[in-house]
Amino acid sequence: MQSAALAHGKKVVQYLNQKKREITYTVIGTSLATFFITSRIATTAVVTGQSMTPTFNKNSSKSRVLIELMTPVTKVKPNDIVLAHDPEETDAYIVKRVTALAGQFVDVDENCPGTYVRKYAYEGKLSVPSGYCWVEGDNKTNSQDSREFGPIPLGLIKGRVLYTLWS
Amino acid sequence: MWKTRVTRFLECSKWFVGGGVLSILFYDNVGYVHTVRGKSMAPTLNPGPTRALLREQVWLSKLPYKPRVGDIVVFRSPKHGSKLAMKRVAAIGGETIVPSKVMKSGGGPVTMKPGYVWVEADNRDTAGRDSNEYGQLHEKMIIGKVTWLLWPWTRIQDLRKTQLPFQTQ
Repeated sequence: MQSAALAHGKKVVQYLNQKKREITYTVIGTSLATFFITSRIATTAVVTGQSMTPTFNKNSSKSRVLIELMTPVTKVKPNDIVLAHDPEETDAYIVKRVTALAGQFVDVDENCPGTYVRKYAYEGKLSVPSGYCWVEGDNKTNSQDSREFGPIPLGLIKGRVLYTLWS
Repeated sequence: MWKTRVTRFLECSKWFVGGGVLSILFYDNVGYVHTVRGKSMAPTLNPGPTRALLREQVWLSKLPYKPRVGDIVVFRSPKHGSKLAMKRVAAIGGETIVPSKVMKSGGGPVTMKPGYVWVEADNRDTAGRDSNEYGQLHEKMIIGKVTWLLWPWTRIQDLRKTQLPFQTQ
């Protein structure tokens, strides 16, 4: 009688241990898969500030957007909205729209010049050097962008912003 | 009949998919073997001919770290967004250096913006496709640090102990 109870007890412990292992593997596997997806395929980010109104944050102070990380930087086109490393603050990011690529010219807006534009524009135009791109916020009156800090190297771009998930 | 074949296939393929994902994660976050192209880091790297099979191989570490002076780093080239370049860090953010090209022509010192580094080629004879040409490099363009020379076996060495072969005070 007793040995039957013991055998049953052992089986229960074995079963629980197996379940523990299965759960651990699932957790590890899911974590790796999530890490893989968010570092290489797509991820989300919170956009704050008003530099991209009305596209983002028209009625709110922040929104969560979907970002795809798979496009190579050579395929970035004008009018794409990109997430890039901030050229002025190493650990920060910026969300801006690409308005000109290398070899193209940027028309200078007389009403909203920035430090860089004032310094380097010639006859109302600026050229974008090879390997760089020109980015501007949609809200021209309230955006720190290439007009301030100049064109940014393509290598700083992490991915393209697809759309707003919620704000 | 085909149902069991499909389930068997899925059972086996999970190992391939899992292995693939782990390899890519390793490649992105731990490191990989990288080929040295060009002679801009001679004589430290590629002192000999640089035809395909004779190029040297190094270990490129992608573990998170902050650039230090003397590190050999691989970074996205500011001139061609999709290409990678390899140079040595000569100064980091906050420091002031006299870049080697400027030293030759007698110009003034350059102060690094925080978060930017100055990279120089070890090979003084090359046209200097380094910061002398494109200015300060944003830290986030750096994708990894070269730690070991792995091939050819006769030259295996810890590259972290090597230094700039010239002065920048």
